[in-house]
Amino acid sequence: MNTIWIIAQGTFGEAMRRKILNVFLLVAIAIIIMGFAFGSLDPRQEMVTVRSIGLGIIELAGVFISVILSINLIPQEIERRTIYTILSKPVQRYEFLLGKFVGGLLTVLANIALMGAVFFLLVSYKEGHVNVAILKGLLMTFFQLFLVCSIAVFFSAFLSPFVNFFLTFAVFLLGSMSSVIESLGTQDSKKSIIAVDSLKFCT
Amino acid sequence: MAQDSSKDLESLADTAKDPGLAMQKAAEENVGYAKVIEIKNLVKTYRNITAVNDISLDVYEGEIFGFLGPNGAGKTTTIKTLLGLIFPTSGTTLVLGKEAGDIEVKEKISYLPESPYFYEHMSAKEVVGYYGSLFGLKGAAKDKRVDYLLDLVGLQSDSKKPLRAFSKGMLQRVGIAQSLINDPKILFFDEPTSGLDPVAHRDIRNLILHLKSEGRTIFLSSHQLSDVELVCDRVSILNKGKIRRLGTVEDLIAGGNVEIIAENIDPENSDLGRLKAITSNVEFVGPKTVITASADNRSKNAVLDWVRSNKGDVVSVAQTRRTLEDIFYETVREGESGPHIPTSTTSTVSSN
Repeated sequence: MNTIWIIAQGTFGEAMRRKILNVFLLVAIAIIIMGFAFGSLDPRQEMVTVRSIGLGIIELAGVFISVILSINLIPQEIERRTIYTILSKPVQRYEFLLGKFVGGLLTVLANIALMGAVFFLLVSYKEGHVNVAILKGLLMTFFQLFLVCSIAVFFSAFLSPFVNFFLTFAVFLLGSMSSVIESLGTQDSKKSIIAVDSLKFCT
Repeated sequence: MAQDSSKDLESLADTAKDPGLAMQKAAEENVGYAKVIEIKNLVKTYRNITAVNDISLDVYEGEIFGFLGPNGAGKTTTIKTLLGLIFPTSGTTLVLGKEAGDIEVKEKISYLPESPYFYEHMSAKEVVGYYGSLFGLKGAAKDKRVDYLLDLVGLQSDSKKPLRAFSKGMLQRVGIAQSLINDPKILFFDEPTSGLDPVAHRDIRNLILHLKSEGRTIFLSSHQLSDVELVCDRVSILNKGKIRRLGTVEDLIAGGNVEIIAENIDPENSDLGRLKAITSNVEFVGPKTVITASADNRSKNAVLDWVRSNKGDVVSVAQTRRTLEDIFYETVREGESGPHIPTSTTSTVSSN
């Protein structure tokens, strides 16, 4: 467990210094702030729009961060040959994989937390009270990204980062459209319901 | 006493006849030392490419073992197998008496890869400490060990700079420091002096000798043949996945070379391929042909026969000292141009 944590800390430290993450972070924060520019709508409608757009932007930025980070976690270690130095130490392969994965998740969590904190404070300020639903929304976004990271790391074991990028995104999109697919499935035969359920389970 | 001398002579004759026996005898000389690495019939195949083809060798405690070969000979594959980074297709690899890759073994060995890369955002102190953490080092004990090692490799004053600001030589020193963090019994060095300036090169060579004086075993893969000749106790030369030479440096270079100068040999001679299969070097210098071959009778006579059969005139035959580079060159050329002709009967082995 200690080894996993050491590798996770190393991964987190390196990932947080990658400029691409900071760019997404800045863009996400900027767009969230822009999301408050809906003064022409009535106050209730404005807050609904702001909450939806804000969470949507955080989710989108989070997905990009998760995918770009996770598809490179293992291949980059192999390409740079860092993996050889680490695995020649008393580190099991599964400890290395889990360490990298946990480090990636910590990075995603930190980014979501940072974006979420800005969003939560601004919504609370605008509404004049603490909105716990926002926190629940952020938590569910994190769980969603947890799955995205898992899928990307899984694919990275046998696919190139390029293919992995599109495949993970495809899985994410299919998962995001599950309600649409489900409604299509309920209108069709039982066979297609089973197919849709299987797809939902996979995504 | 006379009987002993007679036995020695018989033994010498047997050795000259049977290179395999020579290898066995060389190994027997190491009786009393524990085998720390045992490779038996190792084969590693990647799809349809055989990187390592049935090699067997032992490395003894406290020796510096040179593992040589041209690029693509299978050196790094063998090292990775010994570290448990990749799995053999067949054969066995034991390190410190246990299966390669065993966690207990990894506690006692270390690896310096060729051109090591480390996390660039870390400083030298952080990166060596990071590897120390993987061995369970922590707190003041870890700091003390890290400071000692950075001092040993001459990086104490740069220990807090990020690695992205380091030169290749400095990174190599960091690599050596990290490889010593666990006070290892066996060190696997893959090209430790690659890309270093002459001063750093010499420092690292001296460090390797210092590590040996502390009783550590060093498995050294290098293309710096002059270094290998200076520091290694035993050497093996791999080519195309097979061990072509194995023995002490003295045994390998024993016998020397012979330089045969001949005239009236056409550089376009269609039979030159046969000559190149015998000798390590053929050069045309003006009207003369300089042929360098092993000084043993078999090779020397084969060259002289070739010159005569091609209507050349032998101008001179002079004996010269061989270097490990000659042996290496010879071994690689043998692999390229056909049948293997032993040039040093006391050191030539068959890997099968």
